[in-house]
Order: sequence, then structure tokens, then C-alpha cells
Amino acid sequence: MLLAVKPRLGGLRNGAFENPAIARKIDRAPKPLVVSDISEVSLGNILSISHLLEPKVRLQLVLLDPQARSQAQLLDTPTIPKIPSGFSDVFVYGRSQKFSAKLATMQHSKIELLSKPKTQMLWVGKLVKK
Amino acid sequence: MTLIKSKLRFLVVVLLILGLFFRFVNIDKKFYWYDEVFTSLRISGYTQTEVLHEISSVQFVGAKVLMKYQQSNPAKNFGDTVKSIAIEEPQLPPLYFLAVKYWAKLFGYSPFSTRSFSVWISLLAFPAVYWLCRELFRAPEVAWIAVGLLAVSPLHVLYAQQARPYSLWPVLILVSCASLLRAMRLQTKLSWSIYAVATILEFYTHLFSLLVAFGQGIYVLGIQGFRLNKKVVSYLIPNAVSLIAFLPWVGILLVNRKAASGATIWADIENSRLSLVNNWAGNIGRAFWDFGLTYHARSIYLIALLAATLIVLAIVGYAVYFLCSHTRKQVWLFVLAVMAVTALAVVLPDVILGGIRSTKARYLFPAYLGMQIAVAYLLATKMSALCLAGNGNCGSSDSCTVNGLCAVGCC
Repeated sequence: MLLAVKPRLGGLRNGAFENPAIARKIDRAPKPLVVSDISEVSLGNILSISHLLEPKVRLQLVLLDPQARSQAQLLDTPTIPKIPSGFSDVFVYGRSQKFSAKLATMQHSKIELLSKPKTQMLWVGKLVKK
Repeated sequence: MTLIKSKLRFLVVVLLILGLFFRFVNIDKKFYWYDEVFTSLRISGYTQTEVLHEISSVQFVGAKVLMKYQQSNPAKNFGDTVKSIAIEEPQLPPLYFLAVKYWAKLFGYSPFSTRSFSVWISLLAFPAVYWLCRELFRAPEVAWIAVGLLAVSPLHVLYAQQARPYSLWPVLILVSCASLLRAMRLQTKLSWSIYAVATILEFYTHLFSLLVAFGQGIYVLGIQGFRLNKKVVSYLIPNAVSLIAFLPWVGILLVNRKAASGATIWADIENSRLSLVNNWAGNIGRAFWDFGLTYHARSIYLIALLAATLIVLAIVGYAVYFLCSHTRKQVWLFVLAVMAVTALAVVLPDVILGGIRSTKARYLFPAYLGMQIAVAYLLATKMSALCLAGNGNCGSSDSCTVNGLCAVGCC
């Protein structure tokens, strides 16, 4: 009965419900890195998923949107981050395809989707070498 | 009559125990969602801008570092909490956030702690709805049934477990309404002062409290007419005081209105009008019983779920009609005015301009509370009618009603 409470109340909740499933996939990797553009997924989702991730998870966060950058008083121009080696899996956490597409081109890699991307929904993918 | 009363009391106690159980169990098992994270951010005293600046200036962050922005910080005080809300989300008055920050200083900043504040506050809704119903109706049975309905209402249980203002707000709506009726009855300085304090607290908890006050105003106007008699003057004074007390936050909201419209842009998503109606129906149903009617529901159950929801809707609609046709103007106009002003103010912009604000049950608490009170009145009246029809011998008829009540309230 108690187990049934969570999905049942789903109708009243809104936002970030994809996070638990996404975090489970990331936590399964032995030494994971999560790369994400905060202006795409928003700070609330980053902070929400931080409750679900194990301490071993590292996040490499960028803020690409120029308006968000100037609001956050970040004056230098943003760059697509270089992915350092030493991580077992590199995950991309996104909401649109913008950032992930740029990242994949730069890394000569492709994104292997781990959840179905729907419009305005959070998704996670894995960066794999071509 | 006494037999049915004692049975009703027993049923309400059972519903209260169930309600307590649903509120306290698994507080930290459900995941801490988007809006709750913002509660933690606000009580930490950080602004979103500061966090964005810090976390995108470093190469890596661990999940633990992100927790820093959701915990206590010796460099940030209550003023920083107010400041961060005033700058970034001025549509949210700060009372709830200050209260939960104080709570967090005593009991910690974990989701368990911030949510348990909401759970304890939600319990105050029981005496509050009891008080309001006693002010409205002579029969104490209405008040008992209303307490039972709130105890197991999925809507109330859900928000009782969320680190957001929607457990405190309904309590203050009920207290403000009850204290107004009491003050109009007693006409003493003390009773009007209690109404003023309750209303100021309500304003500082949620902006839509202004709609509740507007509904109350329509009620007073409807009862007293346009005469400026003693009752009207003594009503106007505490309202003027409350509005003046709330002016500073209105000023902040006007100055930072750009931030407010940016923070609420999600609500302006264009949505089909039909899906709005779907959502309203589902939400009204969930004020009483959660049938599990969501988009994820299996299609074979959908027809049954839809039928069940429609039955609840019909009961609610009949209950509001029944209230309006069976009670004095002093009663029905009050419930109807508070309910309708909020409902129309939230629903009409969505229907005319497009938006999804009205699909969020939390903004319509004043309307749902009115529906719950109407249903409580309907059940109480039908119950005593059945009892009278049984010629005082309530043996068979009352157990039937009590079972019916149980079906509405339970599960």
C-alpha cells in the first residue's frame, strides 16, 4: 500500500521527476563524471539530483547561456569543457540536444541515450568514442 | 442520536489516526523535488546567482559540495534569506522561509527536518477547520466530518510532506476566515485584533491570500450592503492595518517585478483548454480521494478511474449547490465568495490568456477548502436526516451512512 503512494501522488507533483531514475543509472558506474550545461537543465534540477547521487560522482558544470552568465557575474566567454581522462563513464545530463551535440562533436564521440528524450524532459546519455 | 454521534466521533478518530500515519510515514523516502530544493537554497541564505557563480567557476564539484548551498552557513543570517527571496523570487512572501530557517537551526537542514516542519504545521489545520465550521454551522457534526475529510485528503497529505509553504498557508486561510466570522459575531477589539494578526501572517505566507481577503470583502459587502455602519467600519480597520503591514512586500514585489515574472514564466506555457479541464477534474477529485488518474494510468483502468472521478465531481458540485440552497446567506455566501474569488482569479487568466497555473492544486487551496467544507455539510445533513427518518432509532440507517462516509474519506 505504501509503495503505491508515490506514483499515485505523481499527478500533483511537477518537475524533476526524471531525476531518481537518472541518478540510479549514474550511481551504477564505478567512477562516474556528469557533464551538464546548467543553463539548459537549470540549477534547481542540479541541486535536486545532488540529493540522489553518491559521493563518488563528480560533476563538471558549465553555464553557456550568455544572459545567465552575465547575471551570475561570469565575465569570461564560456567554452565547451575538455573531458579529462580517469573516469569510468562520462554521462551527459541534459534537457535539450544543444549542449550534448556540441560536446560530442568536440570529443569526436557520440551520445548513447540512456533515457528517452521527450520535449522539456530531463534525460541522461553516455559519451562513447566513435 | 447519541449512538450515531459516538459512532461518528469514533470514525473521525480513526480517520485522524490514518491521517497522522500518512503524514509522518516515509517523510524522507520521497525524493526532494525541484521546488523543495529552492526552499533549502533560500534558508541557506545563498542567492541563485552566487551559487551559479561559484559552481561554474570550478572544474569539478562533488554532490557533497552542492549540498553546501542547501545547509547552514555561519556567514548567512535571516536577513540573507529575506534578501535572496526579495531579489530572485519576490512573488514568494518570506514568512514560511523564515519559520523553516528557524526550525532548521534547531533540527537541522536535512529534507527530513524541513519536511517535518510542514508535517507538524499541517496538524494545526484540524483545529482550524473545526473552528471555522463551528463558526459557520450550528451542528458540530459538520466540523467533525470536515476534520475527518482533511485528515485523509490526498491533497492535504501531499503538501503536509513538502518543504514548501502549502502546509502553513491553508492553516492560515482557515484561521483568518474563522477569526473574521468570530469578530463579526463578538464585535470586540480583541477579536478584530486576532483577525488582523491572522490576516497579516496569511499575507506574508502567500500572495494569493489577497484573493481570500477580497472574497471576505465580498461577503461583508453582501451581508451588510453599502452602508458604512459600525460592523463595516470595524471590519475595514483591521483590513486596512493588514494591507498597510503588507505594503513593504508589495513594494519589493513591484521593484523586482522582472525577477518575479522570470521566476514564474513556467506558468505561462500554452496548454490546450481541454487538458486544463482534465487537470481541474483530477485535482478536485484528489482533494478527496486519489484514484491514481494520471497520464501514466493504464488505459484499461482509465474508464473506471474517470467514472470514479466524475462521481466525486458530481458529489462536490451537488454539495456546493446543497450548501447554497439549504443554509442562510451568512453561511453560503461566505464559503462561496472565498471559494469563487480565488478560483476565478486563478482559472480565468489560464482560460483567456493561456497558462497552466490553475492546474497546480496548491494555488487553489482556498477553493478546495470551500469544497471540503461543503461536502462535510452535505454528509452531516444527510446523516442526521437519515437518523430522524429512522425515528431516533439509528441502528441500521446510521451504520449505513457511516460506511458511506468511510468510503468517501478513507483509502
